[in-house]
Amino acid sequence: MKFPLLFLAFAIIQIGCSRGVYLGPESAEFLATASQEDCGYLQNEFGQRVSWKENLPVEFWISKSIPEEFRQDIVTAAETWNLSAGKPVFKINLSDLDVVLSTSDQKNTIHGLQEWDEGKSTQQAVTIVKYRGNLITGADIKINLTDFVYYSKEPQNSKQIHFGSLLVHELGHAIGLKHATIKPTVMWATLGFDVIRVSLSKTDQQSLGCEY
Amino acid sequence: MKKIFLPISIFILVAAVVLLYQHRTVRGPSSVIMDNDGVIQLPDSDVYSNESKKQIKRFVLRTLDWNMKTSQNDAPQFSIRYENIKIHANNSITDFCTLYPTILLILEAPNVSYSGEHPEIMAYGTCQNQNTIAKIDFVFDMSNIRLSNWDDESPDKWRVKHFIFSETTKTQSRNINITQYEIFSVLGYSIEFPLTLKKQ
Repeated sequence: MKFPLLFLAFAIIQIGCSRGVYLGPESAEFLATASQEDCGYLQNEFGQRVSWKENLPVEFWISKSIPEEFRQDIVTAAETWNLSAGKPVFKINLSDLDVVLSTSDQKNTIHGLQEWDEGKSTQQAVTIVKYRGNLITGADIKINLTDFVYYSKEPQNSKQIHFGSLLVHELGHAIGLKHATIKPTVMWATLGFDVIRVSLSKTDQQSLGCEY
Repeated sequence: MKKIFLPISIFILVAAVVLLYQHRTVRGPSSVIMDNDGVIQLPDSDVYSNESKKQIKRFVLRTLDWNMKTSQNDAPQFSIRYENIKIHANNSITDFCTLYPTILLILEAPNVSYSGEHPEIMAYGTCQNQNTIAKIDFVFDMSNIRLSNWDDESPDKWRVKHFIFSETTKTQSRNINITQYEIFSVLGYSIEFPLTLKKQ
């Protein structure tokens, strides 16, 4: 009776110890199982796609720093993603135009900035996405109003950027998408003066379907 | 009672043997070992083969000793210190700094992206021999940050993305990258540093 019990205890300790010395392999196993195809998304350190998961719709507050003539373009850009997903991915809130720009609070905001980093004068906008694990916890979009002039319907000259196209792109970042390297896509890294890009391509729709 | 314990004991014994076998198969005995004098012995006696270099780097990554300090001008600094590491091949002994005189360290902010890209900091370190210690200091400043248009709430947590060991021997133009995955698979966890950077 004593022998089997002692043997059992020894075996349990043996198994425990043999697992205990692992550092790398356990993580490697986890890495191997956790890693996903990027599908156009940001990935965390374990290769998992980063997104809002089930926490939809993502509500964005528009700041008064966004010129009034462009606010409806943001609503339209959000609707483009919603229609493609077949469910409300974004909700645009225009009820608090005094919303403060802060990347550490829980409010997702869209701001227009009259001051922009001199070294980044070719950048039209930036979307800051914060996440924990594979879950996005906050997103803020900053539009460069310093170095670029935008238009909503008709350009006044050949040096204006289509605001709606820019917002479709930035909202793509807000749901976790990276820049795409194969055209056509709304997530192409650059948006030229003469380009209107407001419809999601097949690639964009497939990316959207991977997470939403 | 014996009838129950015997099969259970046999099962556990078999499971333990299988797990131990798997453990050895997965880990495998490293061909890079460190003797009492801290000399890395390479059985194949070729420090310039890719496999040997990879093993040297893995060994170094596993044993590196990080120190963080702040310089007088508030620029954050890291130093890596390797004690008494020499590469022993055939009859010659090459010290670490001779083999890898410079190392490029790239840190990234893990939990934030700017339009799909992580903020990154790059810093070169020059290996310096101090008696038996190979020391590499990395100094970071804002000019090395690839994405810099953040607001005052800048990332305060960074992790190692790449170590790039630069060689001056034989293949001066060809650097060998140790990727993030390789670092993780060796260390089993991400190396994260608290860093507070001030916007200029």
